Amino acid sequence: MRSVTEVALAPAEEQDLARACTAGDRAAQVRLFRLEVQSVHRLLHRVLGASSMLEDLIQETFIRVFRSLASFRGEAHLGTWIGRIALRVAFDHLRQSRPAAARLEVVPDLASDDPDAERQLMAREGLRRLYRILERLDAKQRIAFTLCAIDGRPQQEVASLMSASLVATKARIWRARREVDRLARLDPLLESLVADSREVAR
Amino acid sequence: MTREQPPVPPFGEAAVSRVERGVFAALDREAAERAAGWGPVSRTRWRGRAVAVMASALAALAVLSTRHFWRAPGLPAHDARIATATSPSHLTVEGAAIDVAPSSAITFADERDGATVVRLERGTVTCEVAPRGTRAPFVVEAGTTRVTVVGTRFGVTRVGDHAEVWVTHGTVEVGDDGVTQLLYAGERYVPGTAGPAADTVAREAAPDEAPAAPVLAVASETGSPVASLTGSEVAREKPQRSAERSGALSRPRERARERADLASRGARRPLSLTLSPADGGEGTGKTSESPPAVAARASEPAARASEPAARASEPAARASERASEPAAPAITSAMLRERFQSAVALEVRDPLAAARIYRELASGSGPWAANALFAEARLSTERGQPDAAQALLSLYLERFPSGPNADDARALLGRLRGGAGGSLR
Repeated sequence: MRSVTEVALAPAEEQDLARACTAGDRAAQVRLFRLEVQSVHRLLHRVLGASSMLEDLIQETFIRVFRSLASFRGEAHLGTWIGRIALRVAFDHLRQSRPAAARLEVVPDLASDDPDAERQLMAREGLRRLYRILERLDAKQRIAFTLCAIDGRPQQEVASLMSASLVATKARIWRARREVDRLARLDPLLESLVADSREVAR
Repeated sequence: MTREQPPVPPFGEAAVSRVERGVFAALDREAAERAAGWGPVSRTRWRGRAVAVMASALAALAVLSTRHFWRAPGLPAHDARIATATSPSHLTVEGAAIDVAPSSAITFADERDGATVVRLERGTVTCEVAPRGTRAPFVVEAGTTRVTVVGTRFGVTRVGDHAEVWVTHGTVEVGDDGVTQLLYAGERYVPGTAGPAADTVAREAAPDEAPAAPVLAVASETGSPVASLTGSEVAREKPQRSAERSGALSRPRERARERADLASRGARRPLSLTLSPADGGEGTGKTSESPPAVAARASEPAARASEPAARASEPAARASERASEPAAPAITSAMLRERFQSAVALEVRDPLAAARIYRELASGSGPWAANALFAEARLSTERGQPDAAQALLSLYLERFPSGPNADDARALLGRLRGGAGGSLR
C-alpha cells in the first residue's frame, strides 16, 4: 500500500491521528489525507486501470474514511483499513458501471525502431486490453485478480484487504484467471502476453 | 498477469489538491448540515430523498422545456416596452413580479447570457425578485449603470447617464463604466462623487453639480431616493395604448395570487427602481442631483426650503411607501444550504463569485452565516490574500467564538499571523 517515500506511522500515532480526525481537527484530517492519498490512488488504479473516474473515487473513498473513522479500532494498520474502504468504493463502482463490449483493435504503429519501445508499447496495449477484458468479470473476482496478478500482493493480503477468507479469495482468483485465459485467446496480442506470463510463472 | 508490475502514473499535486478540496468541501457541508439540525441521512431515507430529488428535477425540466416553447399570456416578449400613464401596471416575468408605477416606462432587452434584462427608461418600478438560485440573473439597467440581482432588495435612481443604487437587504453587483462593485445591505453607490464616506460626500456635494466621471462611493443609507417626474414625458404616452401594448395589466386578485406564488418560492422583499426622467436627456433637467443631495437640500435654510412642497415631502412619502411593503417571507435553511452549496461548487471555477455568495450568507445570522464566513476566510487564504483572511477570521471569532470552525479559525489565524500564510491544509 505504501511507497518507500511515505512515512508509516506507529500504531499509537495512527490511533492519535484517527482520534484527532474524528474530533474534527482539520489539520489532522489534512495530514491523514496527504499521508494516504497516493496509496489509495495506486490501489484504485491497479484495480480499475486508467479511468476518468479515479479522482471521484478517491474523493469518495476519503469522504467515507472521515465519516467512519470513529469506528477505526486499530486492529489493522490505518492504511489497510483505508485500503478496504477504497476497495469497497471500487466494488460499488464496478457493480454500478456497465461492462463494455470487448473489441479487437489494431495495435498502433511504432514511432521508433527501438525493440524496448516496441516491448513497452505492446505491454501498454496489452494492459489496456486486459482491463477491457476485466470489465467482463464479476467485481469481486476482478478485484481479487488485479490485486494478486497485477499488483503482485500475496493471496493472504488480498483476502485481508477484501475481508474475505483465504479459500474464497483463492477461488475468486482462480475463476478470474480461467476467464481471462479464455477471453485472451480471442485476442492475439493478449494471447501472446498471457503465454509469456505463464512461462515466467513456471 | 506478468511478474513485472505495470507502472502507475503519478497522482500529481494538482489532482491531489482538487480531490482534497472536494473531500473537505463535502465534510464542511455535512458539518453545516449537522449544525443546522439535520441528522445523518439513513440509507432508506436517502432513497426517499433521491426519489424526491429526481421528481423535482423532472418537474423542473418539464417547466423549463415548456417555457422554452411557450410563454404564458401576460408575460411580455423580450424587446417589449411597457409604459404607463395614469394607472399602474403589474406583470410577472422570469421569477420577478414587477409593478410599474404610473408615468413610468421599462423595456425588456434581449437576453444576454440568458439574463433577464429590464431597462428602466423613466419612472418607478417595484419588483419582487425570487432568489435566482440556478436561474439566469435578473438585471436592471439604468443608463450606464447595470445592477445584477444576487438575491436582494434594492433600488435604483437614474442620475444622468448613471444611476444611484441603494441596498436595503442582501447584495447587488453594480457595474458602471467598466468598474464593478459589490454593495451590501445599508450601502449606497453614488456616481460622480469621490471618496469613501458617501454619507458625508453626498451632503457636501453641490446640488447643481453635474455628475462627474463615475467613481464608486459606498455610503450608509440616509437620504431617500428621488421619485419626481415631469409631466412632459407622461403626456407622450396614451394610457390605453400602453396598456394594450404591454398586455400585462392584471386585476388585484391576480396580483395577490402572483405575490403569494412568488412568496412561496422564496421571493424577497420588493425592490424599488426609480428613474428621474429629466436626466435621461429628455426631461426638464431639474432633478439632476442625487437623492442624498436632495435630502441635504431639504434641510438647508429657508431660501432653499422654498422649493415645491411636493418635492420636499417625497422622501417621507417614499419612506411610508416602503413601510407599507409586504414583509419578507422567511428564508429557509434549505435555501441557505442550497446557496452555500452553490458557492462551494463555484470555488474552483469562479472563486470571486463564490466569495460573493459566502459574503452574502455571512451577512445573515445562524449556522450558515458562520459557515459562510469561515469558508470565505478559507477561500481568501487559498487565493493568497492573507490580510483579508485575517480580517475575516477575526470577525468570525468575534461573531462566533464557539462556532463549529472556531478552533480551525484560531489555528489558521495563528498560522497567518505567524507569517506562514498558505492554505488551511
